[in-house]
Order: sequence, then C-alpha cells, then structure tokens
Amino acid sequence: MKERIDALLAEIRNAAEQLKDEDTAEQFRIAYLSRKGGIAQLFEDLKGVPKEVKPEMGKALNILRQQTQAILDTAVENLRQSQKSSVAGLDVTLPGRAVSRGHKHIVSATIEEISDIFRRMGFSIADGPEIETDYYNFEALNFAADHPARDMQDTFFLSDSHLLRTHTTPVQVRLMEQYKPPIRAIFPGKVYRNEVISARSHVQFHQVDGLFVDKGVTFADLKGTLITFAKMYYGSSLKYRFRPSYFPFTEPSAEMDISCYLCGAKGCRVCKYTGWLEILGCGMVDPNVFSFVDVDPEEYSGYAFGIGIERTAMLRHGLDDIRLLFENDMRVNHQFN
Amino acid sequence: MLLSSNWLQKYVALPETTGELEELLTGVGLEVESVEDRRNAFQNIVVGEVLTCEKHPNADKLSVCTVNDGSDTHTVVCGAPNVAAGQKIIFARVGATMESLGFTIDRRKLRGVESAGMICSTSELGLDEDHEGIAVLENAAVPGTPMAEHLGYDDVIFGIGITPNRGDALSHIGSARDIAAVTGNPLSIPEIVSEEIKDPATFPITIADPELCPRYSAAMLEGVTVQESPEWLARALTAVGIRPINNIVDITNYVMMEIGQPMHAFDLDQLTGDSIHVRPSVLGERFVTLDDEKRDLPEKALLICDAEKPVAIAGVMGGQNSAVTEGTTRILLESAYFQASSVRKTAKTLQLSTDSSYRFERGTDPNITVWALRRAIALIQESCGATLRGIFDAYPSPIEEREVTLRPAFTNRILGIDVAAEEQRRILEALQIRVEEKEDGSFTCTVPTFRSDIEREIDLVEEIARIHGYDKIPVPTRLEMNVGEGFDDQAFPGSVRDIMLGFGYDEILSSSLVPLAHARFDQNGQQVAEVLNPVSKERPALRPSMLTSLLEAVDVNVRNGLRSLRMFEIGRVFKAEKGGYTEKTMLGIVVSGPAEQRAWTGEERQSDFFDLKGSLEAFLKTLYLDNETIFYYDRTSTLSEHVLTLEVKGRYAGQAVEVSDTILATFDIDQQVLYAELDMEVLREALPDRQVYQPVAKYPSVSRDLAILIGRDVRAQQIVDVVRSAGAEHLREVRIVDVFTHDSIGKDRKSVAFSMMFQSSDRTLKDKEISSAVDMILSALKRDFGAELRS
Repeated sequence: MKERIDALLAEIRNAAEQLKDEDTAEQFRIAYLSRKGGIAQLFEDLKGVPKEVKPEMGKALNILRQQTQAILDTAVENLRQSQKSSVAGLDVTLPGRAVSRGHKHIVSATIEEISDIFRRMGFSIADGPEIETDYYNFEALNFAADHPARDMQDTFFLSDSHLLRTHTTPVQVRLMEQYKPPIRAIFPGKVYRNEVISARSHVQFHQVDGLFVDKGVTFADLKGTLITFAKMYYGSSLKYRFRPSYFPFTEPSAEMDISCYLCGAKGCRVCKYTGWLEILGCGMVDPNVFSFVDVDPEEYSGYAFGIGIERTAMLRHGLDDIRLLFENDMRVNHQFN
Repeated sequence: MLLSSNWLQKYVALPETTGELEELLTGVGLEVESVEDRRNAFQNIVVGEVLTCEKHPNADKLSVCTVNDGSDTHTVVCGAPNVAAGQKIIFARVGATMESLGFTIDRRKLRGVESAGMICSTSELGLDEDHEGIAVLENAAVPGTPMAEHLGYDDVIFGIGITPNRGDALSHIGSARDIAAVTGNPLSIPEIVSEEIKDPATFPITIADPELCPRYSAAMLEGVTVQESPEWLARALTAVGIRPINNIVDITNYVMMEIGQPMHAFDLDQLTGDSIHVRPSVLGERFVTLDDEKRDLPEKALLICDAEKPVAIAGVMGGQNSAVTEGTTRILLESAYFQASSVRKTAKTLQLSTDSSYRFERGTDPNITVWALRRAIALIQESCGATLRGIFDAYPSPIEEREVTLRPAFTNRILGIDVAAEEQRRILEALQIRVEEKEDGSFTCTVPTFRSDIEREIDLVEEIARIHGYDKIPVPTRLEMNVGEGFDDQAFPGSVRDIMLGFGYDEILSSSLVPLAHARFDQNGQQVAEVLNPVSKERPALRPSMLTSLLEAVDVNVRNGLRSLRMFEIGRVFKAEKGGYTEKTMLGIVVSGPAEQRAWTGEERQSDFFDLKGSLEAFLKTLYLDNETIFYYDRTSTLSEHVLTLEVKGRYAGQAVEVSDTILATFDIDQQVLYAELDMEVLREALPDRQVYQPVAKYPSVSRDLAILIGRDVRAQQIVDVVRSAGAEHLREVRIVDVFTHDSIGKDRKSVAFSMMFQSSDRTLKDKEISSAVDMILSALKRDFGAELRS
C-alpha cells in the first residue's frame, strides 16, 4: 500500500508539470481528485489493508489528497496569472474612468477655514439677514445720522427704512438682543456696497465679523484671540501690530496688520512698500452699542472684529481682480479645490 | 493729508529718524500711507549752464549745446525752441531716472550727434504741467547744485490717512500734539501779538441760525498788495500738495494747514454794504462758485451773503463774484465755525468736497477762529504790509469746554493693563486735557474744544490707549472659554456644500443683484425687491430665485468652450412684501451638457433630467430625507412644462425643471439645462435628530418582475403609487426597469417593466403568497389604468 501511495504521488507530481491550461487542469482533477479518481481508488482499496497499518495508511492517504489539492490550486493560480499578463488587451497605461469632482468656491473655502479656527477657540457661528434696516446696519452701531463715518460705506437703499447690509456687524446687535452675555460668536456672510465694479471693488463681497461679550473682557483678550487666529491662519512666524483706527461701533478701535508674507516684509506693490498687510479691524464694543441692546457697560465689556474675506483670499492666492471671484468661470474656479 | 516733517518741526522736536517718526505716527492712529523723502528726489539732476548753443547740422528743430554741470562739460542735443547760450537750466546727467517720464537718461545719437544728458522742463520733472520749453532758472543758480537742494527739497513728506473722528489732527499743530504726547517733548505754538487797531471800522455780522453757524469771525484789511507768495510760503504749500496762487490765498491755506482752521478771503470792494449775513438758502437759489461752476443749491445750505447777494457757500467754497484778484486792495478774512453736519449735507448734495468742507465736516475748533485771523493778519502784513481795520466776531453763545469724568481703574479694566493713574494723567495733560483729581481717585477732565470727538469716559480711555501704545497692551497666554450652549448656523450649509461637492458639482458664488428682466421671468407673480439708488443701473433687482445666477454661469462657461457643467450655489433669494422684505437661503443646482465625456471607455452622453433627479434623490438620501420627500409633477410652473415639485414633510421644498427654450434664449444658451432649487430652511427643519438602526432582515427576499401594457399618459409615479397601495403586505421595493414605446404595441400604449422585491421580517415567504400579491398588484393596475400583463 505504501508503495502505491508513493508511486501515485510521483505520478501526480509528474502530471502537475504538464498542466498548461484549464482543460488539462480539469483532466488532472478528474484523474486524481474526483470520486472515481486515483486517490478515491486507493481509499477504496484501504478496506483490504491489515488492521494494524490501516490508521497509518489512512493518514498518509489524507495527506496525499491535501497535497494533490494544493498542487492543483497552485497550478491553477499560476495559470490564471500567466494568462492575464499575456492578454494583449489590458493596457494599464490607458487613463482611468473619469470621476467628476466638485470644486469648492475659494470664498467659501476661506470662510470655512477662518470659521474652523474660531470654532476651536469656542466661538459659535451666527447668521443674519442681508436685507437690513437702517437701525441694525447703522443706528444701533452708533453711526450718527449725519456723520462722515457713513461715507465709509456706500449703501444700496431699498426703501427709506431698508437697505442691503454694508457689513456683517449688524448681526452683533441681533445677537445681543436675542441672548444674554456671555456671547461668543462669529458671523460670516455676504455684504453689499453701492460702488462701480472694478478690479478692486465689487458691489458684493463677504465678511466675517465676531463678537465676545462677557464680564471682564479686555483689549488684551482681543489681542490674544486675534493673534492666535492670525498665527493659525497665516503661520506662527509672522509679525503683527495693532494700530489705532476708528469704527463707530468700537472704542478703542484698532486695525491689525501682519508682516507682508508676499515680500517677507521687504516692501512690495501689494503692501504699498510698507512691509505690512492690513488683515482686520477690531476694537472694544462701544458703550453706545451696549445701550441700544440693554447690556450694562458697567457690568459687561466686549470686543468685536471684522475680516474681509475676498481681500484675504485674493492676497493668499494671488488673485488680482475681485471680479474673477463672481464670474464663475470654471477656468478660474477649477484651480482651487 | 500730507504732513511735512520740516513744518512739524516748528512745533515739536521730532524723533531722530524718518522710520521712528513713521512708526510713531502710525502708532497713535495717524496712519502713514506713504513716505516721500524729497532729499533723495532728482538724483543726478543738477543746475547746469548752457555754454554754447548752435543749430543741429542735420535737423532744423534741434540745437546742439555744450552744458557745464559744475564739474564737466557735456554735449547735449536739445529740442526746445527757447534754449540759448548763457542760460542756467535744469540738467539731467546720464544715469538720471526721469520718474514722471519713465526712463533713464542714456548716451544716444540724435541725427548723428551724440547727446550726453538732457535739458529739462519743469513738467519733465513732474513739478507742474508747463509744457512750454525748458525751464530757465534764475541767473544766480550755481551749476552743479543738486536739483533737490536747488528746489529746497530738504524735507520728508508723509501721506497720512486720518480717520473721520480725528478732525483735530488735520493740521500740522494737531498732529504735532500727538507727537508731543508720545515723546514728552514740549509743543510750541506760535505766539500771537494783538496789535492795536488805530482806525477801527464797523462791520456788522448777523447770523440767522446760530445753530448752523455758532461763530463767525472776520477781519478787515486795507492796503493789501496781491502778489506772488514769498518762496518759503510757496515751498511749504507745494510740499503738502497745495498749489500756490497768490500771497493772500496762500496765507489762508497756510494757516489752515498749520492749525486746521479753514479760512476764506473776500475782495471787500466786491461786497456790498460792509456787512455779512449768514443764512440758510431757500429753494431754487443758484450760485457761481470760485471754480466757475454754476450750482443749484439745495434748500437750507448755509450761505454767506453781503447786503445783497450770496458770496460764499459756508464752509465749502467761496463765490466767483467776490474772489481775490490781482487788483484787490481791501480784503475781508473769514474764519468761522460751522456745524459739521450742515456742511456735510451741503457738500454731499453738491458733490463738492474741498479742503475746507473736509475739515468742517470732521469738526473744527470754535475757539480758534480769532487766533487764526491774527495769525493770518500777521503773515499778510509781513508779506505786503496792510492796515488792519478791525476784527469782528459774532459768537452769540460761546461753546464751552466739556467736562468728562475718567476713573483710571476703568481704563485698566477695559484695556487689560495696569497703567498708573499718574501716567494716565500725564498722557491726558500732554494732549492739553486739563485734569483735576477728585477724592475718590477719579479725574475730572476738561477737554479743549478742538477735541470734539471726546465726549465720554471711553473716549478718554482710547486716548490713553493710543498714546500709551497698543503694542504695550499685554497678550494673554491663555484664552478662557465659557461652557455653554454653542450654536452653528453654518453647519447645515456646510454639510450641503460637502454633499454636492462629493457628487461632483462645482460650487459657484454669484451676484445677488440681477437685471430686472431676469428677475421678472422667475418671480412667480411675486414682487421683486429692487434697489433704489444703484451706481450700476443694469443690475438693480435682488434675485427672486437662483435660476438667473446659475444660467449666467452656464452661459459664461459655454462661451468659453466648457459645456459639461454641474454647478450649485447656496445663497439668498429675496422678495418684496407689503411693508417689508423677505429672504431665504436656497440651494440652486444646474446640470447641462455632456454627463459623460467621450473616452475610450464609451461615447459621450448628454445629461438629461434624470441626471439631475438622480442627484436630488441621492442628496435627499444623504440627509436621511428620502423617506420624507414626495416628488410630484406640477403643471403650473412658469419655468417650463416639465417640472417636478418636491415636498418634504408636507412642506413645499423646491422644484426641478427642464428649463424652457424661451428662457435659455434670453441667455443665449444653446444646450439643454436642468435646474433645481431647494429651500434650505425647509430641509434643515426636516432633518432627523439622529439616525436609528434598523435590524437587518433575517429572511430571504424574493424578486418578481412584471411587464405591463399601459396608457402612454400614465406617469411612472402613478404606476408605482398604485403598486405600493395595492395591498401587497410584504412588498418592500418597486423599481421601474424598462419603458418601451413602439407602434407595434399600440399608438397610445407603452410597455412598462418593473421589478418588485418582497420580504417579511419574521419568516420566509411562500411562493403562493408572492403569487397572490402579484395578482393583487396586477388587478389594481388593471382597475385603475386598464393595464394588461404583457405576454
């Protein structure tokens, strides 16, 4: 019996060498592994083997069957591989099937990036109407009726009382009406200015305004938050400065400049050879604004800030014409993901 | 505003370097926008002397000159007709950069003669607009003197951006005050000598509305000679960008640039009746201003009048009828204080902004008018000698200095710093604010009238912050956060954006303002919100839907040759309503052109309605709203005959349409466009709080296909609805798999095949059950639509 097993193994090894396609593989399977194949025949003959060697022989036969199956499997797999690579039709250098992917608008991307930084610093995100009243857009923000400050913002009027908001700042008034301090939120959105459209100005653009009102909020806190923002957005090595400015709704007011990252603060056309880029306006909430929303300035204080999105995005990505942002020419939009 | 460092130096000692001064000015809020170091101007341009001048051998209009530039002699070809030997001229050496001309002087041959330099006109130096030949300098000029030195350019000029609250800084003394406060250097203001008036004249001034004109001061001078200003004066004005005119006008401008008080000089002989009346205009008045413009005056514009007629628009501009001319010998100098808002209104209506109106609008000092007069008188007398006949001052109710209380602790509470009360006091006093400390430690501050912006405690805090320095306010190393309920109004639009981007749609952002015609075809009978005063008249309407924006974007790209378009925009739409306006946020989607590009894997396929609908279905599924949404066919839309309306949780949520050819023609679009809009608020409010797990079915599902013949006008949704409601308990899914029309089936019939899936949650379904369910469905279709099983 033992000899017959060895002989069959030798035969199988030999036969395996001859496998060249699916047909010969099938013949191999029938010859050795099928119900009537060589191995099955030996199992049949096992019945007549003496009792004392039977378990040993049975074990040997089982091993033979496993080996044979493994030989076949390996051979078939090899066949499949060699067949594949020999098929001339599979040219892996052909381009893949197109997958269409959408491109995020650069303004949205900028707003999201800025918002994410403020979210990490505990700011909520608020929203407000684009059609505003004179009260929210100007009056409650301490713009006196006949003050030159109103000239800073050319306004689209819809009626005596309604206008297109010239900044996202009115949302701060709405928030303070709605919630009691502490209030810590930013409010991104579209704003409008009644101007002639040119490379440098558009009738619409976007801003992100922010507000933090609580007990004991100071100008130092304002600096801390905005410096943190600037470092996260522009990089931690930048230099910055705060310089006094004027907004009717904040006092003291400031503008924040960062060292011009386009020229390494050496001076270039974009930074008007000053080495500084203005990135935002900010200040402590003016007590007059608090008085419009019934917040006691003796108990609370707060800061506010505003960032122009288009300017930020254009500087960062080297766009020199704001009109490119709203024409929706995909030759432009497709350059940004 | 331009500030000259030489001029500033008269009032306060300046920091050593230009850089330090620049930093100081910006640091106190007088933002330096430009710095022009005039000492470096006109490099390689010097005084020259024309030694010889002969006709060019080969050109009639050219001369060949030899020029001595102080160290060498050069041959120069000159084209100016007025060049002559012996002249002192402006000579640009080889290598000089002519900034206003945009080139650098080179050696070059002109008609065969080599020219090594250029004889210049003043306009070529950018000094003026004089184009008549070269400039001939005074004979005393020394060849070789650098032009900057010759012109007295020993100055640094700062361009300053002044914020609207800082009217007090619109002069050299005003700015010097801030410099003094920061540096601690004393501020010195010119002494005014009050001269005795020998033969006083009378000159009544009446003010009709003292609220609009609280003070009107004037001085009468006789024996004036109107002439060119002395060089120092002309130079000072030129340095700060004011063109010298004559000594009288120049002196009024000089005083304005010195102290900030706008002044005006009238030719007294042109005024009738030796008196001044200040009154508001009445409707319909017209007036010719100095610049020779006839202007229609708005009602209630403040006018300065003599006994008969208006002679100036108060605070804005004087009149042609009383201007100082060469022959003027008697003048009336005006130095007044007008209400800021009145001047602003007038200047704005007239669209006329002058140095004077600019200052009055920002608030001048009511108590400086007479000082300014005396200053001007002294300068006029110094310039041409003149007799003062009187100073007249109408000031019915003098404006007092304001008292404001400051608690030094409040300053520190707002700023987050610790500035000692003593230092706060020093800063205020340096700004000429008088401080009296009270028992409780607070300060009673008396604010001079030139600081009309300081009214409240917080205004004083700002002054201290400014002078102390914003950069000295410490930066905290920790940011404290409140624990509370946050909210995020951007979260939902952000998710929607990400879903659409994931589906391969490009985000666009477009103008909310659209042409009126575009707004009208999509207004659905609603009133369009319109802007009353647009600068650009062609887009006055606020879009009532996203359609216009998306079609414009399709148009732009198709014109650029990009036809395969899938785009979306999240933005506001608007409408006017009785008594107000409403706006809502919409998602607009557009699909147009090839859905699949021609490639080796297959042919190009044009997108159709079902590309759009497929996106909508997948979109709603992503928001877990697919089971909340009903799509139904709507015949009433104005946009197209093929419109699908969406309802989410029973509310109108938007529509999907194949845009009609009429509308496409308006935009010149020559390919089919599919458009959808969804109401973001309706979607957001329908969002489930959370998605709950549904156990996976344990028992096998069974599929059955059915093909029926049915009327062509029966819509797929109707079939599906009937199939679903036929009463087959275990029906889980119905999917239309084929629609086929052919005359062989019948002219009014079509074949519709659909696949149904049956499944039970608690057992394996028996064949018999499924067959009877299918029979039920078939008979319902027969009953409702006369459908037959297709054999």
